[in-house]
Amino acid sequence: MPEIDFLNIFQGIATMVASDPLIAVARVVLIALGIAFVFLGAKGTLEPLIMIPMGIGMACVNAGVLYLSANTMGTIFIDPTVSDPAKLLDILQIDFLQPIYTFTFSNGLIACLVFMGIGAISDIGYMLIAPVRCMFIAIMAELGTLLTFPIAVAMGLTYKEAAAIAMVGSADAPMVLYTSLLLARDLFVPITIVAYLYLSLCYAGYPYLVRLMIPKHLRGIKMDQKTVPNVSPAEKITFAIITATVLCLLFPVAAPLFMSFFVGVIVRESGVKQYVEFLSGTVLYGSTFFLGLLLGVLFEANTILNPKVLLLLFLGMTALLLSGIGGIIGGYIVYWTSGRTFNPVIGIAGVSCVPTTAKVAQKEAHLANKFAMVLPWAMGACVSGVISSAIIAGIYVTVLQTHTP
Amino acid sequence: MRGKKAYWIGGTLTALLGVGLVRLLAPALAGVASSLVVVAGYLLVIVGITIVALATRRKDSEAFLTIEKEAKD
Repeated sequence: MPEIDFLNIFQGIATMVASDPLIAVARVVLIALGIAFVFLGAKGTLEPLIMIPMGIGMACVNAGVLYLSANTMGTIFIDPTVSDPAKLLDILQIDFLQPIYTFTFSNGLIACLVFMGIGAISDIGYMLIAPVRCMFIAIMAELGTLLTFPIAVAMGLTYKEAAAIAMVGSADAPMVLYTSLLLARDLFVPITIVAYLYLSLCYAGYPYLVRLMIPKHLRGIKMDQKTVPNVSPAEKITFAIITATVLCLLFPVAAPLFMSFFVGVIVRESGVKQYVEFLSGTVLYGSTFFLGLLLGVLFEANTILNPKVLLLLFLGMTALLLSGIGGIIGGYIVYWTSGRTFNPVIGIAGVSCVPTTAKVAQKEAHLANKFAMVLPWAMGACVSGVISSAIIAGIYVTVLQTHTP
Repeated sequence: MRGKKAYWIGGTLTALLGVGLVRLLAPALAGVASSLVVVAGYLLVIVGITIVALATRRKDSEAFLTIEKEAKD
């Protein structure tokens, strides 16, 4: 009987054996982590929309390493390092996910597509219930985005890397992706994965922060439903177009994000049903699916062995925690300045992460008092959070791209 | 919307004035003056957008939702 070379039959195992032991261990860990993400996503513990495609991508890319030539190992999923036009043209015809990466990731298109979808599901009418309070809470909820920046610099990251990881505090993953692509291209994969990982845990983690910082009798404060105005679509469209234009004039580098968000908002308010369904369905879910899949595929063993990844994990958590605390402090300030009629739980919704944090606020208020209805105000703070996050991203990108090497 | 023209126009002009300060005036200045103009410009933009948002306010009688009667505990 001829000798069977099992390592040749299962090339994924052969490349694992042949590679550096550290890489081999990292590959096994990432395969296990990918499977765990799929399991936890399917179970609902983590956000399934992003974790299922990301998990399967991570597991398969780390298992599917093969010999591309006698001495070269790699995959036929994607090669993010290629920049030479001739090689890129070759790779586009070999690696099956390369076209999506090259034409939607590198230029931030996928982040903008997600933002169009978010705009199409966001009703800015809620923000207009109490615009000053909503914006104040949203700005307070940027505490993590602002404070993590000096912390990250003190821990050894460059200004651009520090700004990119600090954006995790804005709790808008497309924004994190967009900023890190512009400011810290080498770290955009781990930063975006850290962002999505933590954001998918918001729904589970923030309720504990709310309960820790706000006593039950305050969580149950009922809001005055009389103050909810009936804002017409024409007014929402006018507000959206003025705000979008002004913000684009102010931050041209973040103009694609502003345009994407507000085009979604305006399409929603214009009532063109086909466009609303297209943006809030096909575009939002299609781009989220490919975003998750590509992030998973980009998370190879070599990426996680970057010594900065552990630091990013710590800083990402710090950013989101500080933003949550900042939002709740903002909620408290509005509670005191409003004559103690404002439910401070709404503060957590200023963190953004539409609509998760608004749902957290409503759930916590309802648990404390089954007649407490805070969702309209929470959605207002949430939408304001998207706008304040885009403004902070615009400031970081504008200042750091201009003034740092 | 008609009765709130002052808010719409005033807010827009205020925000545009802020943009002008940040993008046009501040680069022409140097040092502390430039920083002050930038901060003032950003603040004017926020104030302008807030004024525009305030244009959508309604009287209580025009509220979208009515007061819900509380159930007795």
